[in-house]
Amino acid sequence: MMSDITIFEDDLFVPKVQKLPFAVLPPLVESMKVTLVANTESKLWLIHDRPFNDIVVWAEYDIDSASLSLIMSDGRVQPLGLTIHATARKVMRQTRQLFTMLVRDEQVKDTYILPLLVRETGYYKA
Amino acid sequence: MTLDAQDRTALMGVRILYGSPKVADLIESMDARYGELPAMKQVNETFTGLAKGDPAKLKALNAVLEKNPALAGKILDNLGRDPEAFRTKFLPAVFANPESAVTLVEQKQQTAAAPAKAAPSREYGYEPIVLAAKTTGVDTAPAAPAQPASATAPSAAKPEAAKAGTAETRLGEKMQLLVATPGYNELMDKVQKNPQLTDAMKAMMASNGSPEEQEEVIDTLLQKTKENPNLFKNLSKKLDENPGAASSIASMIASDPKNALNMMSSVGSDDGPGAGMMGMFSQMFSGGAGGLGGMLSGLFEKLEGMLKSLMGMVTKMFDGGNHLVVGTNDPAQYPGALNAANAKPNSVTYLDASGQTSGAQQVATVTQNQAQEKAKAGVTGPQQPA
Repeated sequence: MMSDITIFEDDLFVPKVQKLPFAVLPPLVESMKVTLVANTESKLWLIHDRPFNDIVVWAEYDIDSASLSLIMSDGRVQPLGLTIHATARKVMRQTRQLFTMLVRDEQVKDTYILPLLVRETGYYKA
Repeated sequence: MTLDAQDRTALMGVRILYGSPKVADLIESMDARYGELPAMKQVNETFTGLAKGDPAKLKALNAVLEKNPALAGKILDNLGRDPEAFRTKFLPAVFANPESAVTLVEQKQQTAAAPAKAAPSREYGYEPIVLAAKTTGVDTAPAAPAQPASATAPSAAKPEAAKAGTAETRLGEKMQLLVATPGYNELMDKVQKNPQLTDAMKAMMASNGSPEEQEEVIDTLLQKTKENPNLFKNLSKKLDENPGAASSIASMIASDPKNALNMMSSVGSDDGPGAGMMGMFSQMFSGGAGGLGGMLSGLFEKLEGMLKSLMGMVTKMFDGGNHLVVGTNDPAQYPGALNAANAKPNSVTYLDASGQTSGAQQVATVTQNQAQEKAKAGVTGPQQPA
């Protein structure tokens, strides 16, 4: 995903257009089927049917904004795009790892075990 | 840039296999800054020739560069001033005694600052140096006495060093054989593109074994590639197919190589595929007290099995327990995943778009089959209590 951004380099009066990558990728739900499943032992799975855009290095669950995001190896952030309602908060708050399962053709094709960073200030926006 | 694919692979070997990232950075900077100089190709060849024949010296040089952060910049300055002298005098002298690099660079800079005093025959103030058994903190085997810079042309030095038969020189030559193995370059390319795998390799190299141990490992690998010429190609394919599992394994190893077993036990279950995987970790880390012996060969030999085991472990954990489907954009996906993982949760609770569970008990418990049937029937949204 590239964007036209005008930046100024050596000569301030000669604008140059460069392609710069977006720091935030479109939500995961826009590019693949995803399901988020928790269990009462505070384990969390993300089921998806297509490979991720890049190598994922960790995940972040922001309780305040009720969102979960994946952080790519190049620093880009990809939100999941699903609202994580307060009902799931109690279970997910204790979670520290996210297991991902790439499921396609009724087979588990790949898995990740990602560190999960949980943020919570108590000012809930959702 | 003058580095071609082969150079890049060699550079990756310096960075990862020889555990010398600072040296690799220096080579890259040399190339980036002076790639257009006519003598640069010869400088590259000299550097490569010296480096390949002597991995222990690479590490020693790496240690010197780490200790002296400004040294790389000064070396580059010197290269820019006189590439030929850099190639014929400085590089051989530094490889003869990496710790002398700081002194040599300082002397060269002083010479450059006062050109009238420069003495062409002693440009770096270099004198033949007889190496001690250990010249740095890096674990090195006794090295042959250094030759004068004028007699240390790389093409001549390498066979002489090989004749000396130290484990380090043998290791260097065997590494070249390994690099020439079909699929090795592709595999290392994939390793380099995966930051977790790269970190894992670095972590493993950090707890390096002796040159003799390394040689043994390389011998084993060479033997394996003879038995199975497609070993590296197969592994490359596996990495392509399972980047997630490979990254997960690599991250765990890299974060704490010696504690990998404990980490795995905190992640995995006590039995089933998790136990199998822990067994593999046991094999990997057994012998050599966590040294290179076992780990490098373990990485190559066991990675494929570990990929399968990790996936088995994650899917095994999916089995049982009380599932809460927090959200989805495809209601049929969850039952399909249960099928794929052969998982049977004790209960399943679905949350609807507003975050509410439906039904009088606010808990919708369905069996796996019921969920699948409903999905097949096109039922979407929250499930009703069974």
